[in-house]
Amino acid sequence: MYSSLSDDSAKTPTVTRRQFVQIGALGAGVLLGTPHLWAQQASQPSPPPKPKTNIDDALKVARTKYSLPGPFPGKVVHVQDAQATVDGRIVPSAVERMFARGLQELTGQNSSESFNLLFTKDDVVGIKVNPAGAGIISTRPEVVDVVIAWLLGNGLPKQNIIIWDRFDMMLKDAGYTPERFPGIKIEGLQTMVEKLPEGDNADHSAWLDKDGNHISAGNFDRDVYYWADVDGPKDLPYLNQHVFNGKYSYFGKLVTQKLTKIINIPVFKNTGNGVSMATKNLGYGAICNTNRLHTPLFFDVCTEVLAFPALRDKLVLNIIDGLRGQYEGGPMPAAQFVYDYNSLFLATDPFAADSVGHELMVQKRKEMGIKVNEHPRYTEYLRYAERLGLGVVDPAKVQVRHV
Amino acid sequence: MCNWMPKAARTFGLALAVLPALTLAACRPPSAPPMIAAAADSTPPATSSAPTPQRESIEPQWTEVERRQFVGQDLFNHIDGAAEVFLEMGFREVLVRLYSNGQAKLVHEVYEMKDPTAARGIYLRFRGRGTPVAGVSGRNFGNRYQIGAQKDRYFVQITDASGRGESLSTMTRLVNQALAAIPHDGDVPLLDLLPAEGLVPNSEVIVCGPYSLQSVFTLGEGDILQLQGQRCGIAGDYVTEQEDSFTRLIVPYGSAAAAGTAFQHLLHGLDSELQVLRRNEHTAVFREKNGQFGSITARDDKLDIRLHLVRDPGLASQPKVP
Repeated sequence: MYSSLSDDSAKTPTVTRRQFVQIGALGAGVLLGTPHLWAQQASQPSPPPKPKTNIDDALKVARTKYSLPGPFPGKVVHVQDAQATVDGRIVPSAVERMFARGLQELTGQNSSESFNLLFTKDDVVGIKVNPAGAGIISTRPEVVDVVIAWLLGNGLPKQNIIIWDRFDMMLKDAGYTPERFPGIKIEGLQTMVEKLPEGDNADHSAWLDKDGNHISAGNFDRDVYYWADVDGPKDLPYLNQHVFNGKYSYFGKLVTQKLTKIINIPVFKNTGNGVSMATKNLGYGAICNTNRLHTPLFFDVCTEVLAFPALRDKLVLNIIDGLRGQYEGGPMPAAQFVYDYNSLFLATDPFAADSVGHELMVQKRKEMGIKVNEHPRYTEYLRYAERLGLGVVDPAKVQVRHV
Repeated sequence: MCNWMPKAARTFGLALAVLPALTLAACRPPSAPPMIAAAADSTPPATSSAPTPQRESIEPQWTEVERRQFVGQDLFNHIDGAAEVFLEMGFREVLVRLYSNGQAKLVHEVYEMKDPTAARGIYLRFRGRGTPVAGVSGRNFGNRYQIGAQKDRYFVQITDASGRGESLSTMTRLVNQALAAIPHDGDVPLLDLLPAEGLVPNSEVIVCGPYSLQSVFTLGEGDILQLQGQRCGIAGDYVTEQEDSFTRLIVPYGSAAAAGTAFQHLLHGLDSELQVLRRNEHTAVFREKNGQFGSITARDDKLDIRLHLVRDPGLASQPKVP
């Protein structure tokens, strides 16, 4: 993604690669397809069997009182306020009211009690946003503002809050900067060069160290990984973006060693016939070397990665930012399919949240005349999560509160 | 056996520099998490044939500040989840230019596909039910964020991620210039296969393989329609008095024999969610999981597939394929 052919005559230093990627209508995003895997699948009459993974390792670890699906399995609160967006601009006071209302409806307790239910004042809380598609469909800073205010208001020290994503430059593109959030740490799990050097004598020292390792390799925990029996491509563009390219997708040390709790704030958008909301934001956002997983394990990753204790036992709250929604063209930003939805969804159970989000997305797609493929393969990962005890997605058990 | 080094490693200087360490790392036993294994891949630059507006035709406050070109599978380096569909449709190259006026930025993309059918396929996919933008001359859709247009084998897209609207006139001008630089439009005969009566406007989708078929229906795994990267079909939604609403997918194979083979292949690999109720040599009727019905008919050189039928169509009631 970040290596490309270019016309030297047109190069200027005035616009960075990340800006270039950010505003590309189709260019922003974390998850690349895998060329060689794509070519294989496209030409085969039937797909290869699903590769093995180390999910059993995750399931062996004893659960804690904070483990998914948290204190409210299957419960999702949908707060909608038509006044949350006026002329395309977010109204912070409306978002604040929506969050407070939704939290109370979720927990049945007031702000302080809700905080104490999910956190202690010693926690280090990571707020996972989805900055891909900045400007069109990304987590709005106004939503993060009210969450931070809630945490601070209940005694969590400012230095114990970290806004994070996998890619540092995407955070900046989406407005997550020290200037916008003074005193709050902002961390990407990895960096990358904005323009991959080209040519026989290209200098890659900006992202490869002298041993040939990505400079962000140290940000990932070699002891905590999602293993899948499928290799990542062995080329520099892939390595630049994915840090590693074997069969191991390491969790970020931020997640495994620094954070004690996680609040997940994804966006409300589709990814093909499925959704890219709560579970994909973490499933593909907390580990490296993900490209290889796309074709053979796409949605399974959203379940299996969240089964690992680094996420399972720390993710305590999901808030889907549906102030805007995107019903087609996802996961990439596609402006023609974006609409003001003026919604927030709150849940401790990310699989229930995605289950509800999926149903609403299907409704919206039908309403907008999009062909909808409702094959169960696009929601099987949710049922898989229920079988693993990570969430509740059975429509007969899911409770949706619309307020 | 450590045989991961691709041919590209032999062609890229950096890879040679790091190969010794990387080779050792990559050959570590699987019980230990391996170090990285980097080997470079490089695709030779190509000269774009995409139509390019003249620099001086852009308002002076706008400057082209960056230009990039992606050829063939290098598209994965530019876009993510949709690259598969572009490639399946017949992507050739894209020229991407970034314009800035110091405050706003515009991304101008010209995708060259293998033929007008492929370009129309991409256009239809991104248009959805989008409406044309006033002032754009030609086939287009869009709004203040983004304008998409298609002519001949090119798909043109201009994006202003800010969506503030101040750049809309420049976006319009850039699209018009790009379209004007394409000398003529190309026919898409595939579109004529869908009967006009009852066709829901703007519901057409071109299907050229497993990825583009996903948005229509899951008929089976892999290349279930035997499109083989060479053929495309056309799907559209219908509303008729007889059938209420349904989706129709027509695939031309070029010969009755090929259509017959595709029919057999499709039935053999039909998705497990679909229950075949009855069939004969050329037609099959199935029930969908949701209780709706579908049918597959091989007639002449085509497969005619109907989906989401409210009523069981029966074997004898298949309308003629136009």
